[in-house]
Amino acid sequence: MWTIAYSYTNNNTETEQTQIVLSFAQRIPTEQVELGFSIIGRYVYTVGITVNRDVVKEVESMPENMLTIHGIYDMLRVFRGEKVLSVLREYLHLNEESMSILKRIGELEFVDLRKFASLLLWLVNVLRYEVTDVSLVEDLETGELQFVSVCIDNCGWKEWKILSKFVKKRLVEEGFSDIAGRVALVCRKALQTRKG
Amino acid sequence: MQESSSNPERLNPRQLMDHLKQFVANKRTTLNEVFIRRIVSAVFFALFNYWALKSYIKGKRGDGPYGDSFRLSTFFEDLLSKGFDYAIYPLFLYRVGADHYILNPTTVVLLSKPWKGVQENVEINYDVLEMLLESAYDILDYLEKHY
Repeated sequence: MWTIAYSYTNNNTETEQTQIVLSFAQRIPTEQVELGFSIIGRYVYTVGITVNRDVVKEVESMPENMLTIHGIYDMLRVFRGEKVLSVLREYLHLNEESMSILKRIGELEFVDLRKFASLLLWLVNVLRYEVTDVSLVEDLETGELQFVSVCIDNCGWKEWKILSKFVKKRLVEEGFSDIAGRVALVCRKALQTRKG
Repeated sequence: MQESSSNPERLNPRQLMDHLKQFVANKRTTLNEVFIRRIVSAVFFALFNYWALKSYIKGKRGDGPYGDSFRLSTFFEDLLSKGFDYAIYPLFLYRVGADHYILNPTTVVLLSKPWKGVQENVEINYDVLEMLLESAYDILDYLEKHY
């Protein structure tokens, strides 16, 4: 059995030494769980289910104390903007373009950076999706920002429907309606497949 | 004006979409690219109009002297918060491609600011039109029954 371990320490916010200690995404054997890590959630992760996953069923089978978006937000809310960006850089492995967009999102305050970061970390480390890039989308005719797109790798057409509905419902339930309406999950592979 | 602001069915695009769906099915092999482009654009804005009128009837107000000019961003916000990402993103992407780009296939950029934005490879063809109509019907069903 494999599990996901999460831990963070709040050493000293004054000196900005607050940090997440263990990789959110690190999969470790359960026998190693007792090595002083704070276990927030655990579930059996089946390798290889990437194209047509039943995300809803997977999450329903997770224990009740599985890490929530709000749980991650509670960790990130003590961080300053730059620190949030460095956490995202470390755990999401995004390209530089996406990182500069994230920085811009923080500056524009189009979405709350900490809430948005919590969503990204939850997608990657709890739902086990790979976020390939993040971008801003605007209306070319008015120049007005419309939403932030989050590209998910290796996600099929049916899965996109389920994932969109599930994640947005979850965001609203956890009190993040503002993020739900300003973020679009994009399964590029599904788009490519459906082009025929 | 009173009458036009109280009946949402006035701008319900179902009849138009049903007609277009039937038309598209009958013309599968001979459908001209101009038709595809105009259908994509028409369906997108027909849904936007319908949503805007229903919003107005619910008491929301947009811009203009009568508050009846709604922003696209509000349309997206309403639908994205309900999880229609899979439907609204392709519709918007291909609507931009159909109205603003003339090469086919091409690469559509959804951001004109100095920093680089989303770039998507877009090919306007029959299969795409079918996909977009399917997505559009999902949105229409929601707007009719739950909005």
